Amino acid sequence: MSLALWALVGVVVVGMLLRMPIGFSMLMAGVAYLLVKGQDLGLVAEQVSNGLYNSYVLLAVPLFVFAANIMNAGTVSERIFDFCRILVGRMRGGLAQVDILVSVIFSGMSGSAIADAAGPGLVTIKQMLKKPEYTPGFAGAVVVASATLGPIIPPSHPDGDLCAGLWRFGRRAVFGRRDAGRVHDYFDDVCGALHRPQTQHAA
Amino acid sequence: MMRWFKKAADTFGGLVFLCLFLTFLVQITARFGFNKPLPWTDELAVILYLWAILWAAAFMVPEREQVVFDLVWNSVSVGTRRVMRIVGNLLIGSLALVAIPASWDYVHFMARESSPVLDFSFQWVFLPFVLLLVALVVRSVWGIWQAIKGQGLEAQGQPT
Repeated sequence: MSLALWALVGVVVVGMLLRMPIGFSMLMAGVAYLLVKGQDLGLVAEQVSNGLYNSYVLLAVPLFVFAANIMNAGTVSERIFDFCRILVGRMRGGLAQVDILVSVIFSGMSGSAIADAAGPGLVTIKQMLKKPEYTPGFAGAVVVASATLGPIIPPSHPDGDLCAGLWRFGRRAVFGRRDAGRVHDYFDDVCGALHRPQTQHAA
Repeated sequence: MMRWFKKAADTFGGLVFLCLFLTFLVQITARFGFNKPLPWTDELAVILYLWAILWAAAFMVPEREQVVFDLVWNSVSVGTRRVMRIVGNLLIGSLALVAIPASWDYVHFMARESSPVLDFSFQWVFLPFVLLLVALVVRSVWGIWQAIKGQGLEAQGQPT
């Protein structure tokens, strides 16, 4: 590894170990790399600014979190939470079970792990911390693990792609490539209907 | 003074995000409601997004809400933590300080280009990155000062 690369890795690792914010450590690691390499330091500004300017899809992230916060403020999350508590709340480790069921329901609405963690996750953690049996670490771990259900359970973005892919694959397997009959068109419509809204809402 | 500045920064960030959200609503209505996508909403949303993200990183997110790795921090003594905090802030702060002139150079250079639809100068679009660097320097100085005074050195994120 060259000296510049060592500077890059070194600043990230040292910054992290010294309990500096990880994002800032990564940003400054870029500066250190350019400094050692003797290149123009303005490249960091150029890369970060243009990177953000061209990443339209990332706009979805703050808006997902915002949507989840609106749901919290409007007590939608709490209602779902209460519903799930009635269903599974009396089991052993009730609140953890409730959180998982809440995530299952919520992921049907959002399709995003981030929104799942920011919305019902926040409510569950608050409820868990009221009881001494649940430690903050356990609460965080359950919420993070269950939030990953968001992109897995059907109306989610990766799922839309997967469904469309499977339809196409199945259609080819059954009808072959040359068949251009009615059934074929029908399947194409289904694929389109499944696929299109999903990709558009993310882009 | 600090509190007033914090409040102003929070208000401004909130307004930027609100504008972003409203732009988004206009965009969605135009595209899916009237089937006529408006080009300026795309551009304005991205510009506001850039401002919101960098502004929030610079002035709004408090230190205890940053993502940090505190395994080492929590297992050493208060004296070591003080040294860690000073060295870490020195590292980040000095690198940010060194990067300011060149970054401002780049941002200022971009004044000759403007965004395609709205004709905003890119100097104003990219300005918050320089503000972020300045805020990092100020924060680092503040962090070192606090460490010398012995504040903010307690263990973080422990079960209570």
